[in-house]
Amino acid sequence: MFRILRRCARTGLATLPLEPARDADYELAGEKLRESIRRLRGGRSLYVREVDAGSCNGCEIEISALTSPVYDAERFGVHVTASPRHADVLLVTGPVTRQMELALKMTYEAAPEPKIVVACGDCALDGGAFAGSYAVAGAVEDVLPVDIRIKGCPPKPSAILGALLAAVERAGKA
Amino acid sequence: MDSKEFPLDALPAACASMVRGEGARLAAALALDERRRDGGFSLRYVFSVPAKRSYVELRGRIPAGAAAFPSSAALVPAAHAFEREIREFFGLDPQGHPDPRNLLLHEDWPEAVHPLRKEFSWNAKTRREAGREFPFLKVTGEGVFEIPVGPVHAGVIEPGHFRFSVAGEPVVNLEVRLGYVHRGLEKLFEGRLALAAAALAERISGDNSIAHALAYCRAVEDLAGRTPPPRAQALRAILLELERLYNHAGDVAGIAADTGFVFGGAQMLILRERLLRENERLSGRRLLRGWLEPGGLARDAAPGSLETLAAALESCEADYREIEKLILGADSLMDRVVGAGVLDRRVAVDLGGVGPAARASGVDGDLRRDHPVGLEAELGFQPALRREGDVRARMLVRMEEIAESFRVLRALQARMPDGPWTVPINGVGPGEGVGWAESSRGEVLHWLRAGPDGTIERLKIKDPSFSNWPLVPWAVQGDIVPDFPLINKSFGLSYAGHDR
Amino acid sequence: MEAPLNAGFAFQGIVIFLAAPLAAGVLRKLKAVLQNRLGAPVVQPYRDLRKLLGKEEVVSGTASGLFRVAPYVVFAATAGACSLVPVVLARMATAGGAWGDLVVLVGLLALGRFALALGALEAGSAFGGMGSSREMMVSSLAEPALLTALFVAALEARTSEAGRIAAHVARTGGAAFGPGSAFALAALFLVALAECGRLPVDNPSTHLELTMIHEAMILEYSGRSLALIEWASQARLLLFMTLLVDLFLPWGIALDASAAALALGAAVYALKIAGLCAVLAFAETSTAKLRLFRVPDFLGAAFVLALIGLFSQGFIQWGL
Repeated sequence: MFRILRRCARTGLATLPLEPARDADYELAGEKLRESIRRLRGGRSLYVREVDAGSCNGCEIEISALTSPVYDAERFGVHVTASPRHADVLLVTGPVTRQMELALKMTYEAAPEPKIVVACGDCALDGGAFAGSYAVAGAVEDVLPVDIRIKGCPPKPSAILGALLAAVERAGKA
Repeated sequence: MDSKEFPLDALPAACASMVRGEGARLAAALALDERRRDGGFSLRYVFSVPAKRSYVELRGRIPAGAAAFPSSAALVPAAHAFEREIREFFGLDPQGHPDPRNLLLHEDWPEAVHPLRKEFSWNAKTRREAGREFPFLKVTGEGVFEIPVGPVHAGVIEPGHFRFSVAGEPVVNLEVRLGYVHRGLEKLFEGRLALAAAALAERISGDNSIAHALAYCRAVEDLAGRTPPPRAQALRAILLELERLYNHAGDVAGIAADTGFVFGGAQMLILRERLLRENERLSGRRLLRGWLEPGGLARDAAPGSLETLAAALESCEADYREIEKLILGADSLMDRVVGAGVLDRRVAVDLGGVGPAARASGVDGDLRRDHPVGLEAELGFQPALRREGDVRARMLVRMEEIAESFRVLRALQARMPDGPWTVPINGVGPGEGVGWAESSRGEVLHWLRAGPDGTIERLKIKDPSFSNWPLVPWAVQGDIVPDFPLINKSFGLSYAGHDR
Repeated sequence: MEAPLNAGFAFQGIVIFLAAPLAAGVLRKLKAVLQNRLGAPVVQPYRDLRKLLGKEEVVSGTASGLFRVAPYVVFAATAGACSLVPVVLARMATAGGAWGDLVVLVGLLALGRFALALGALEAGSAFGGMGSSREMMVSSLAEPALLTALFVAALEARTSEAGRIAAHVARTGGAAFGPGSAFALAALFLVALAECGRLPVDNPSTHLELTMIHEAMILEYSGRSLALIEWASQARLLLFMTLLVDLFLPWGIALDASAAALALGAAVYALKIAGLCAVLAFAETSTAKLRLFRVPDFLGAAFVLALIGLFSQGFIQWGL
């Protein structure tokens, strides 16, 4: 018990200030996204449901870093949730494989409005390294309406979180 | 690699005698569509023979017009999954195989369409067939009910389906159904220039980018008959160990967090983040991508970067030692992991299990010691071995490997050779080559055949998870449902590596 | 002057509901700090609830009306239970009549749990069923321990009314605090961990659907229903903490309705709850989750502690 306290004190605060995402790293959709965030009461509380629609798992490594003490997405009100019914944001990675297409659609339908779809990573944007393959149904936007696009293979955690926060900030300004 | 031809009917017996007589382990089984050459198919069974420190291949020919072969699955259980895959991708029927169901392609895939046959185009749009259901094993009895889980899981994790049959909380049977992340990679490689495909190899299984790219590059080098210079070998070994480090750190963090000991998990995640940042500082990419190429490396390490890395690793190791003590001293965590998910050694051996999951059950095998490449023979790897086969053993094996990796990285730094970091490879093929690497999960094997123009005719990718996923249902037998996530996490398998 | 006093007493329940998200936020923040990170701001639960109230509700096709009604029953039952417990002002000694029987409180909490468990089965998903069955197992073991621990306090004050007990202990000072109370306090703490779905019984922040107990029951809820259930479970946690504070650590509670006493009572209450949050945060951070079939051992221990408390209190009181 006290070993824990001691280690905690030695480590100190591990959370680092978030480096801002570069504009080139992400793309925000227009009015619909702003409207969704407004209906989500400004986006100060975002429940994120991650869906791997066929990624190589590289994006998952970076997304799992978001809940680590270093990036600490919770300090921005971004919380990774267990159920699509609780979700405000669907964070989708990977090209949508033929065999994940249905599961992805069902997850989307299970989530209540207002909801935001984020296509995370080069594969999610256009199929990436797997584009055109017989086993791939398409990019995320071929299956679902996409609000936020994040580039990278994989995108850094700061880019993923930064893109989300940029959307929130932009909705607050408009 | 030694390759012996057998008549098709004698192949199963030959495979069995490899396993029994020479103590070999089936590493991969693959088929080749050679109908354009001579009308038939070729079958290869690749065995790891530690006693000979080499791989041995047994091959057989399926003559023109035939589409079946005698199955070796009954004699060599490790061949079970490989032969199912051969059936669905090539349309070659393994006669005598107990399981006629598809492994990767789901129910809506038309039966007569076989993606790895040459006439099937890599970007073909195939219709979906309706109305079929995957026949899961049904367990009947009083109070037995089914729990389907997935493919979308509650955490940040890859998709897969688990079908439990439970009587209350104890698991009576578990079936794992994967294939959701099948991207058609082996087909995607075909037709590409062998010398330019390392980047695609990095995306087979993202957290094993280096292991797969390394195995691929080694296969190309084997084919071309070229050996990378010592500096390249040393740098490659550093990258492989760095990848092992961050993966094991993440796995231990996951095990701790899954038992509810969030503090331990958070500490390990902080360590993992440090390691990923060191990766970035060294190579420009957190997952070390974009550096390996056939022949060596695309560029040298920046001046001073290795020294910076060494200093950072020293501090990371000191941190790790403290966290390790903390985790091992957390009684409530240790109580959860002791005795859960016990995997019997014989099951691991029979099914060809590899990596930490097998070593935790007493299977003594590690490619860095058994099939060393380049500098590996000089580094004196000792595989971390345990006998209990429970979650605790798998966690401890990873912890020992972390310590071992730190040691190896120091040794590599100390004897870093100077000189070129790559050897030019001007042409590749025709021919066959094999490359391998011990990833954080176990044996990665790439079997490559290239044509005279240097393009890939066939690449067989064996990810350690392909051999290890069949172990999970065995480990879960008799345990209760709430322990399953912890057991699954202790195996730490890749869905993307399995499905390709 | 019965009616106004009782009405005012019930008003304290609203305080619990309003303060519950703050208490949950403080607890979350403390746990985050112990994990070396910043964590969400303490008011984050209010933002979460506000957002949820504005979201659409998606209901599974297989669910009946019970699914829609259950969250309201849970909310109402928890609200009812909260109104039986003193927060800032204890029962005044001069007032007659009864209000706030502890057995009724336990019954109301059980009603809420029952409704939630039934609602969880509605969507027909395996997780809901697993959550319900585990919750029932845990509560069937926790309730006897809970009641016994409460009886210890009731025995000392010779009443089962929470307000009266608090007033009695506050007035008599340390003399009322016998060894039996110490056992009962420990038992109540352990039971509170189980009843509120905290570690080591249940991990409230887990993402492992197969290990969930409480969370599994709410996986299918969304929008306003989810907000009501979340709020009710936050209130439940604060309720248990308030109960602990009232029965075993009530010093500082207002014994009359004067402004000074109320202000002091409120301040002391806030401090005690903050302290309890710190204890809970530390307890949760330093332990892993129990294997499911160890939970009966855990609750069995709580029950035995409560029994010991009951017997020792009985011996002291009746001089056996």
